[in-house]
Order: sequence, then C-alpha cells, then structure tokens
Amino acid sequence: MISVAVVLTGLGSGWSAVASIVAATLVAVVIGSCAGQFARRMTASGSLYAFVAQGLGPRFALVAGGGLLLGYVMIMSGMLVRTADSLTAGYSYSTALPMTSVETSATLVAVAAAICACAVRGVRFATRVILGVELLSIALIIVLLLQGSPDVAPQLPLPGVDGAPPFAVVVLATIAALAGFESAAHLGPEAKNPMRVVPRVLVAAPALVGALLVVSAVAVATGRTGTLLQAYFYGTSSGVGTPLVAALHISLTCSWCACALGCINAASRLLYSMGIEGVAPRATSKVHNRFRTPFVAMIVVTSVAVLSAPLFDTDNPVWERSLPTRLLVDFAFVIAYGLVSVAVIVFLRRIDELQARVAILGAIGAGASGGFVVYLAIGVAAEGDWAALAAGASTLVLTGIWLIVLLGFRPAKLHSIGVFDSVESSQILPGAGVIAVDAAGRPASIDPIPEAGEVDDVGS
Amino acid sequence: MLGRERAQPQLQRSDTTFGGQQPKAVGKAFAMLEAVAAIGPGATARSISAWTSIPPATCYRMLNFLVAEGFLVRVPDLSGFALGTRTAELAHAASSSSVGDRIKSVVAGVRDQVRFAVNLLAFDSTRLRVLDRDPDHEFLDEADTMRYLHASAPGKLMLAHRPELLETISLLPLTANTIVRIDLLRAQLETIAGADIVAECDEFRIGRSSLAVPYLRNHRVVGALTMSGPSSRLSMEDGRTVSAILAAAEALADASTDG
Repeated sequence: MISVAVVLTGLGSGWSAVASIVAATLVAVVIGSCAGQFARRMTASGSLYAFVAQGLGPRFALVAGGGLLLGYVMIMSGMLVRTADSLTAGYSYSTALPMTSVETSATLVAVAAAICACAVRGVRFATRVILGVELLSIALIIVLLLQGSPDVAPQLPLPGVDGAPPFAVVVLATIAALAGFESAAHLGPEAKNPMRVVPRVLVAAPALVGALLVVSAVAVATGRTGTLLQAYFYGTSSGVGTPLVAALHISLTCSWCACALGCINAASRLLYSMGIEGVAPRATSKVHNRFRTPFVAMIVVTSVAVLSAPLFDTDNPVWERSLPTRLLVDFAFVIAYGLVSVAVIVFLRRIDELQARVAILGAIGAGASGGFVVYLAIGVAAEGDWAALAAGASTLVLTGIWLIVLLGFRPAKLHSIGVFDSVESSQILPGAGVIAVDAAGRPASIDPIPEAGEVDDVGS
Repeated sequence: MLGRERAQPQLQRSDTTFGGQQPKAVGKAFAMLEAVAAIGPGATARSISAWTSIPPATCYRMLNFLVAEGFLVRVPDLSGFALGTRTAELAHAASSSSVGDRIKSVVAGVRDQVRFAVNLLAFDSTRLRVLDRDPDHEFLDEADTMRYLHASAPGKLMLAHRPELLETISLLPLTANTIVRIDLLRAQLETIAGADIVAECDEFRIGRSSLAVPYLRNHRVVGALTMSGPSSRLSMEDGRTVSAILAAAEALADASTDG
C-alpha cells in the first residue's frame, strides 16, 4: 500500500492510476480463478508449478516453478533488507549511535534466522502471526490515510520515480503488491478440505489486496497521503508526532517480516515438491520430525534470500529495488501467471471439461500477462536499459539452464514433474475399483475390479 | 503429504432449510453417483453429464463439489471419476440391517450369558462399524473406539488383520497403559494375528477392559465380536465369559459360511 502510494504520489498521477490498479486487480482475479480451476481438481504443494505441468507439460512447468521460486526468494530478500534497515534506523534513533554495516548485516541474518525458525515451527503458527501483524499494520495505514487532509500539503519534497513509463510503473507497483496471491495453493495439501477452500482464496486474495491498493490510490488522487508519506520518509522532522511515527515504522517492519514469512512458506513448499520429484536436490524434500514442515527447503530459501540482499539498493528510499530487480521479480511472477492461464485451457480440454467461460478467462489472463511482459520489454529495450532487460529475462535464462542440466543428467526426472496428492486406495469405495500403476510405479488409472465374486460385502 | 491431519469432510451445517432448488440439486447429486456406479471407474465428466442429462456447467461444478466432499474421487490422470469411500456411509444403514437372523441369534445368545456390552462390529475401510448393537448395555466411548484402533481389543484385532492401516493412524496415549510405541504394537499385533481371542485392559480407559474375537465370513476376518465392561469383572481369568465368547466366534463362523 505504501509503495503504491509513494509511486503514485511521485508520478503525480491521479484517477488514471486508480483505473490502472483496478484493471491490474481484475486481471489478477481472473488469473486466480484460472488457478482455482486446477485447485478444484487437484491438491499440490507445487501450486502453479504442478498446475502448469498438468496443462503444458514439464518444460513449461519448470519455467513457472523456477519463476515463482525466484520471485518468492527475491521478495523475501527485499523484505529482509527493509526489516534490517528499519531496525537499524530505529536503533540509531533511540541510541543516537550509528550502526556499522557489519552490524546491519548481522541484524539481517538474525531476522532471517528468526523468520526461518517461525516457518519451521509450523504453518498454523506462522499464518496466525502473519494475520495478526498484517491486520494491525493495515488498520494503522488506513487510519493515517483517512487522517491526512487535502489541506496538509507535503512540507518536504517526496522522492520521485524514474525509469519505466508511468503506466508500467503503476502496474509494476501493483503487481509487486499483488504477487504471491497464489501462495495459498502451496499449503493446500496441509489444509482441511483444500478443494473447496483454495479456489476461494485464490480469488479472494487478489480481490482483497487489490481493494486495499485502490483505497491507497484513491487517497493519492484526493491528496490524503501527506501525513502517511511525510511520517514514512521524514519521521518526526516532518512534524508528525513521535508515537505515530514509531507506530507506523514498527507496524511496517512487522508486516515486512510477515511478508517474508509468507514467501518462505510458499517457496519451501515449492522446493519441497521439486525435491520429491528429484528435479531439485532430494534433501529439500526432508520434513522435520516433530513439526512436519520442509525444514531443509526453508533453510535453503532463507540462505539464498540472505545472499541476495546486496542486490537491493537501500539508499533509494522509494524502491528497495532498482528497475532491473523489479523487472526480475515481476516478470518471474507474470510469466508463471501467463503460463497457468494457458495451461487451464489445455488441461480442461484434455479432461473434456472445458467451458467457454473458463476459456475466455484463460485467454484474458494469458493475453494480459503476455502483453504486459512484451510491452515492458519493448519499452525498456527502446530506452536502451539492457541491464533491466537482462534481469527481466533471467527467469527464462535460469530455468533454461536448469532444463538443459536436467535433460543432460537426469532426463527421467523431468517426467516426474507435477506431483500432487493423487487418489489413494483408502479413498476409493472398496469394490468400486482398484488403482493401476504405470511402469514408474505411479498411479495411472482406476480400473474395474476383475472378479466381482471376490468382493466381500461386510468388511467394506 | 507433510504428515497433515485431515479431518473428515463435513457439509456446512448453517444451511438448515431445504427448499428452492436444493431438492433438485440433491436429486442431481444422487443421479451423478449412480452414473459413476453404472459407467464404472474412470467415467468422464462429459459422459456423466450425458448419462444424467445434467447440463455440463452444472455437472462439472457439482462433480467438483462431490470430489471435495469425498463422495467421488478423481482418477490419477484427473480425467475421470470413481466412487469415494464416503459413498459407503450412505450404504451403512442398509448393510447393518442385512445381518442375518442366525448371526443375530448367536450374538443375542452371548448377551444372555454375560452382563457386559456385547457388540458385533465390522471392519470398514479405515474404521470399525457397529453391525449389531447391544440393546441393553450402552456402548461407552463408541466414537473413540471406532477411531483409536490401537487401544481397544476389537481395534487391535482389526489392525492385526489389516496391517496396512497402521500407517494411517496416530498412536495417541489414551491412558498411561496405551501402547504408543510402534515396535511394541507391531509385536503385539503379530501375536494377535494368530490368536483366537484378544484382551485389552485399561489401555483405552482406566477401569475398563474389552475382549474381542474374530468374526469370520467365508474363512475371512470381516469384523469382531466384542465385549466391554469394568476391568474388575471382565478379564481373561473369567473362564465362563471367555468360553462363551469363543463359542460364539465359532457359531458366527458357521452361520456366515456359505454352503
């Protein structure tokens, strides 16, 4: 919400930005409902990765999965940087002592370790923490937005935004805020009645987040963001009271931690799926004895996020991410979203359940995602920002390398991509059929029982 | 996956009224279950839609609902459906009344000889189920007995004959005497598998014990005849009770064997 408000204020854009955000939100809801079509029919820790595998096969699945993994890890890394930065600033403010860069780095590692421990402890605990923290910080931000009256003009200049074209910047900020709405699907196998709950969450999450972003954009358009942004950028020197500034920073810091927690939960389940399939090292599929969480995957994700921290520019107050890092993350997500939109059409056609409505939704999702990537890529290329273009292409490049390595060394593993919680014998009405397995020992079909006379009529 | 605990799916209870389109929807749902039963495992959504004459859009939505609720399952490649275990619950009432008169009279005969709760249970796919309920003595902790197979005599008997279920249960310590170590339980179950009678004392509830003998139908163990009562009275030391239940086990096997 804050970053959207900052971007919009920096751009000086008004109601057109509100329209862009509404459009981006609608597209996210469409993509969520496409993913929901899969979630109604299968439950998979891999989420979009497993869904794309069902529709478009293992190669595209690897691109979607690799993209999501990259996106989650990078967002987590950015959140860790912000948190460490905020804690350092708070420490320096309260003690009047500056922190050295070593101490800041140590803070970042400590925060990362704490978040990782929280995630290992279990998803129920983690999600409750996230929910509580987010509710508090959203409430505070909304209060601040409502408080800011159009009369209070910003006393100090707010940082501007440069780089990509204005429309794209707005959509980039919106996507950055919406990205990860699909992460609920990763937890499907651990949820009660996932085939009912997950599809609902996949639509409700982008709708709710989008609504908050619209509130934020409307606040900008009506000039109500003064108090919030002054308190955010200039603290007490902007004239806003110390308690409010402290409350804002504490709640934002907590919500960054919560965001990092959400990322680690999603990324670890994805990596866990890949570990089970043998696409990623087997060790990542190890589950903690007591807490039943994929702790090795969590440690790997946290470590990579910590190591990626230097990619983020903490001197830039508006974006912790430069244009290349932004494109890297947003393209990673948008490519996965586009693929799942195409996959839903192919998948439903294969199982003969395609309806015109879903086909249209898939086409909208795929068209919007593809159009966005192409539009931005052309825009960035036209400006000659090759670093940004290269960063945007990194999902394709990295997953391409991964694919070549797999094809070269473990081609068989590629066919195991897309594990999901398939039907088990105990779920089939005894006597109604038996699970037949394929050559690789995976369930392939349910066949009729050969000799009906063998069926026992009481024990079942 | 990830060792989750999945609760038995439940329909929402908030909808207490039954009107409008709901009766039609229920009719459609049953028609779909019948269609899957008739077409056989692997029935596709389109074929179910054609069989039941339900429009595809409604049909797909309802099929997804029936899968989420466990009445149907999707086949591994997700293209078709098979009947799920939950459908079996619909048939329970019918099958429990289908216990023959000869079986009922054997069980009633045991009830005349002892002053314990005597129940005839069937081994379901994952749980126990009452086939013939004791009309005089209440079946205490019935729901838990059905569920915690590791702690009661009939449950142990079921596990001994369906060892694959061991993987699916959690060994909760119901009392201090409950066996919660998998290796100890396995050793006990191995002994039970070859035994004529199983006894359990204070493992399920302190002060309560149970005995169980296999219920054989065509030489296959399909259930258990069980007695439960206070530990002070019910034990393997009581020769009269033990011989009564053992004799009943033989009579049940005779009454249930065809030809």
